[in-house]
Amino acid sequence: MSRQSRRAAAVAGEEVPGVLWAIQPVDPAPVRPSTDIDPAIPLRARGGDAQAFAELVEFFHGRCLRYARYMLGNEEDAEDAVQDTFVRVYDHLGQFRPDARFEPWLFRILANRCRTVRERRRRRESLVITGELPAVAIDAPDNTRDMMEAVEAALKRLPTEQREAFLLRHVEDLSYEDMSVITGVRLSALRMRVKRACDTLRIRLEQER
Amino acid sequence: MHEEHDELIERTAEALRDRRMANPRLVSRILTAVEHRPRRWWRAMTWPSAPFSLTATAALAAAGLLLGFMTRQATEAPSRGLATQPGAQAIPLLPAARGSAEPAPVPVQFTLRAVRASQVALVGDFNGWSPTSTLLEPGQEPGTWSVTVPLSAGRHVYAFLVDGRTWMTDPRAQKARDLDFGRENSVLIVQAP
Repeated sequence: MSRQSRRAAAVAGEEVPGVLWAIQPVDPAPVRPSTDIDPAIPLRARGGDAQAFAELVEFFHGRCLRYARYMLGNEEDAEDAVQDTFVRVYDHLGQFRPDARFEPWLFRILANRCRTVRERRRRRESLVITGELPAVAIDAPDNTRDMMEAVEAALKRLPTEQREAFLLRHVEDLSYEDMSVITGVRLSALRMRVKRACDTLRIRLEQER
Repeated sequence: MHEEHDELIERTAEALRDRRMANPRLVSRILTAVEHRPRRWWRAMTWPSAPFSLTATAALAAAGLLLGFMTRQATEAPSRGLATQPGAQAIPLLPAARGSAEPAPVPVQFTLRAVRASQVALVGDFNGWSPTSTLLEPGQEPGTWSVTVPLSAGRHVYAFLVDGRTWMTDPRAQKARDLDFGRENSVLIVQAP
């Protein structure tokens, strides 16, 4: 077991001799403030406080829209998915456990809504499209495309599961434990998806330089 | 698997995070969409740890007879639009005015055997998952509960809520898991009369 894999195993909570963990240097990791909301607000909304629900929407809708936009690829579908998500949140707030965290609960609903929209769109498009779509311009980027467009194009080409894992981990800053709650996928599989997504993005973006 | 700190990946994520997505129009749309929705009040509920001895079934009960009765009631007194089931809360039988193309609801009897229960509610998509609006009545046989509810034709998802806290699916019905919330419910298909 390499140094890196020992350390990663320790992070994942697997059985690792404590002394090995203790002597491993810890890489500096960027620390960002918590992305979750004051836990009192979902509880107030759960109790029927309309203002608290409005605060939830105000606080989270931008991130939800960003995630849905990257997952679905267009604004209209993203807005529909986010609206549908918050309506479901409103309808089912009573099922939100007071001791749970709101952020993974919300993103689980959102991720499912995005999958539903994608599936619905896939079925709809399969009715009118026969055969493979032609290769799009992302294979031959024009010189005027900026970094953002290159990043979005590379992201869009990732398999859906890898894109989902990458966005949740690196853009939404969620822990692997929260991601597991959201996706229903095991930690080890999520780590693999994120790694593959990073490897693919790295190769594609370096080709663009 | 070690998650390396990679400058290119970090810059990529930063670029993706920087996308400004605040959208006041969407906030307004969402708040408008929920404004008139009924609140679904749920008390803390738990999965059953087998505290009840029960069997449950939902079945079409005397559909022809009861449907004929209710249709006649609605036809004779369309202005009322409501019929009261003995021992149960009044439930709209004809949601649309006479002459509407909407098919008449079909009465469905839900029964449950829960010996130690003191209250049993039927919760489902047809009553907004309300834990109080559709209570089952104790039957003549001790420990049995039942209620008859008029349902429109189509697929309905439901469950039983025992003593306000224990969520029970119908063991004889098809199950449907809600992916968003992880809770299992029962499914009933009502045929058009």
